[in-house]
Amino acid sequence: MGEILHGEHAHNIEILTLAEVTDVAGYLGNFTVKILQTARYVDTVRCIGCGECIAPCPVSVPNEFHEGLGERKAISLTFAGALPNVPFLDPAACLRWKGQDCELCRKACPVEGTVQFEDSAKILERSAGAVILATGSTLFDCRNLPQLGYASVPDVYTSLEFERLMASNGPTGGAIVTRAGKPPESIAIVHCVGSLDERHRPYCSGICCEYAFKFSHLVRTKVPGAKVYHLYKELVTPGKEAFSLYRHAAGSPDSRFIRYQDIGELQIRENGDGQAIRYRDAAGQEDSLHAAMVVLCPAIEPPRGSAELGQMMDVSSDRFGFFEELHGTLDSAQSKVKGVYLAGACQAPMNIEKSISQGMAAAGYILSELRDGTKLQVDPVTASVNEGACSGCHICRFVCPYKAISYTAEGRTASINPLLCRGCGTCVAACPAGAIIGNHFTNDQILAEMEAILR
Amino acid sequence: MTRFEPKIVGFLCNWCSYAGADKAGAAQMPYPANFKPVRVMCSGRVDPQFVLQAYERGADGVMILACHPGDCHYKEGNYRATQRHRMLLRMLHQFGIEPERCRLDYVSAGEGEKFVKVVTDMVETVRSLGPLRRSAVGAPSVLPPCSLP
Repeated sequence: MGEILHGEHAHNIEILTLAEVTDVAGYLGNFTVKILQTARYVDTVRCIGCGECIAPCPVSVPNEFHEGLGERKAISLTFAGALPNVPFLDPAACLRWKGQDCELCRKACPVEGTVQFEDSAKILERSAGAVILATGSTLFDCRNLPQLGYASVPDVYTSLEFERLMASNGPTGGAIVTRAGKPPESIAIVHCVGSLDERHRPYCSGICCEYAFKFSHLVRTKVPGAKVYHLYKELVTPGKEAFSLYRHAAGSPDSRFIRYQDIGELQIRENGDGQAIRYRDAAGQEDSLHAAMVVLCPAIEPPRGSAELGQMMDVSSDRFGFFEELHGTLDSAQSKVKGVYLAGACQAPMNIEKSISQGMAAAGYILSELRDGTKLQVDPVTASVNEGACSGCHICRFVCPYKAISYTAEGRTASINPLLCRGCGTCVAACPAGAIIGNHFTNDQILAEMEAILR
Repeated sequence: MTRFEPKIVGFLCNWCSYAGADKAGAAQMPYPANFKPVRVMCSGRVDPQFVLQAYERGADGVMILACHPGDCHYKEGNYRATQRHRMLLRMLHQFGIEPERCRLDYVSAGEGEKFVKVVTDMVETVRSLGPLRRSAVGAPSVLPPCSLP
């Protein structure tokens, strides 16, 4: 992150936190983006990032960054190292928004005028030459498989929660302990939760096995002697390095691999000081085991709100809700809208390595296409309007998949933005007046072609 | 008696079906010479009038080959083509033209074999239907009264 704050190009980078894009209009080279930035209630210019305001705050709420496993104050930093290094005040938790006159944080702040309860949301407008969508992914909601006991049985965690437990800046300072505070003598890792499952997510997320083996490795160092059970449907570790994690996990005397048949038959119940897991293995045998902790590896899903964002950007989504790439094999860093690029798991489940490659590809596209002083090349295959013949019926506007057609102020005639138009010709076929010309595929050209081949 | 050789005009979208036909060509898969392709950028470009004009100019059958649903290079052009094809079939019925003479199918860039199969099917179907009765086309005023089902 240092590069972004202090690097050579830092003056070209503006970070907008607590912000949400509300509207995007325009085309490659000329987008206008409207952004709603909610109030932080702390002045980012005045604040020195000392964090003195946090300790006196009397309100504690679940910490989202720790997946709800720890707590944070109503005024807090998202995590150590978050940018900007300025706390935010959460009005949903703060006592002042509940009618009380608390100002402990403001009093604790050593720089006057930094905590501003009067702050309000702002609507910002920025112009941009291109847009990269990098909204990431979320996890399949394990409550959709209630027999797994997630959110009802105490020591059943998602992989993200377990990740926070292992992190040195996590709620336990990196100690792997059960909710009762004891180091577990056994951990069961359930792979393929919701994935490879026609009833939920038919695809393999492709990253879970690798991190599950990483868990195995870390458990071995943090809780020596703890048993690790891998319950899986399929094991998938592609690439030139991942197999070593698998070898490491499989070679450990403390780990056991169990292939289950159907996650629908896998039941997790509270049992004494742990969980009892019943399953049917690949050979059809019913069996059970006891584990002090259970870690679920849920399928990777598009994040909430991506459908709305896609609609706003006019970017199509695939049947799973991920943003659709221009070409599945040849071009996964471009969306089907020119000037809107895709990076990371918003396009498909992927690991860090691939996300970074895709991000670099997107940046490369933009840097090569939007060089200072270059003229954008417009594809010659576009449509144009013969204004004299246009009756202003607006049919073309509704069929255009790229919102390339607009109307003059009086609404009389259509005009097509050649930068937005991709030349599909749907409007040409739809125009009842024959007023739209599909350049290089005109009606006359197609007719002449037909005449020649039918001669 | 010589065998009837139908003339089939096919509108192929640039990104999927035309590439599929090219794939068939590159693999040297034979397909009937009765099929005459016309490349369009998108199946959504196919104006229903093109189909009628093809019949008028001597085609015995018309094919519209599009990307598979969800795969359109232009997001939804193939859905437009499907809608227009549905409408066309109803109109063709009123003209007394069999629905088998106007076929929409999905051929992706990798489906050289499917391209050959649908084209061969179409040629055989239209061959068995016989030539299109040209006098009826383009002269609705002289059409015999149409019996709707």
